[in-house]
Amino acid sequence: MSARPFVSRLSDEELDLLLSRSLDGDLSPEEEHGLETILAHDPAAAHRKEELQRLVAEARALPAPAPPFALATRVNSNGSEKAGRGGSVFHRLGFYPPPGMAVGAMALLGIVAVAIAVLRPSPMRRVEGPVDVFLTEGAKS
Amino acid sequence: MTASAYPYTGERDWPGDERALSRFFSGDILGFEQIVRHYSTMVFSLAARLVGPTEAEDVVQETFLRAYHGLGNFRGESSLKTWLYAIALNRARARHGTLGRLRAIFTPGRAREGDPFASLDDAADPGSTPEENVVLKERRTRLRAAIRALPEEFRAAVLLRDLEGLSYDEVAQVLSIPIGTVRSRLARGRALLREKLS
Repeated sequence: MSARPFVSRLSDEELDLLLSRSLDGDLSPEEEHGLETILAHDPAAAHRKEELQRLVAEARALPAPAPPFALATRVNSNGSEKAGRGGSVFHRLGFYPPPGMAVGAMALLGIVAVAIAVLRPSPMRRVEGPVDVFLTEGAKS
Repeated sequence: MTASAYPYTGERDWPGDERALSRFFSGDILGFEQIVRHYSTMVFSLAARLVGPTEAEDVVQETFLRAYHGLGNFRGESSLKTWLYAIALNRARARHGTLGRLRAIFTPGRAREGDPFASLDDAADPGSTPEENVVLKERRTRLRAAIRALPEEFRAAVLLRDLEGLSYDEVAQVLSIPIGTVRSRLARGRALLREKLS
């Protein structure tokens, strides 16, 4: 951080802030006058301002990206479609799964459900053995 | 906002924010469609500068979908313009967060390779020589790359103020920060750009 030789209290950051605000017309007349005085006595600061001025002018001259054809039409048609369907839940989160993925996910769930049902061990069947028969016969008599 | 030619689209049937909103709130979907037609180019511009033109349309779609669902909560404390910009900025940021990375996994075919900003092509200046146009294009490419390389908080301020042309007040509303912070972030962002490009 270097102090300006003319005004020892002004740091590079403070000068940058003044220059930036000056480019946006955000300085009061008094502040603008003070800045001009600094620039008149500090060639490095004046050079800094010129570079910043050129940079901001170039940034402002950057052409805006051209939107694709019929963007608004697509947004409107997609918006009204998604807003009315359950899929809008996903779309609110920014997920736009392709239709095949949704079908695939459901198929996978179905397979898992079937697999669980088939592979789940069946409950133990009580097999009648001699003791059971004995007890049953005993109960009958 | 009065009905007048809008600099982005030149449309002349724009009734203004209030009338479009009032139409929408009265149950007429055409009100929202007017809002989309009026602001989609503006939102696309910011989105393309943040995520590249290829993914920008997705950001635009998400922005207006969120806006559609959120308009009921719009209090008019900010303008519709800055409100939409704020949503677009959040949607663009989300694409680079955890949710965005998950989204990239579960939406195959949307993965992009190479520089997503490569297609931001500048039209040649008809008043310049081919050599001048090459130099101009190179400078613009370097400038865009330098802006993208800025820390996020400074990049947003520079994009909104210098590239999108918002006022300090509007930038403050979009970013939900005080105007003093807008000033300092802008100054710091511009200084970093100057250091990088000089």
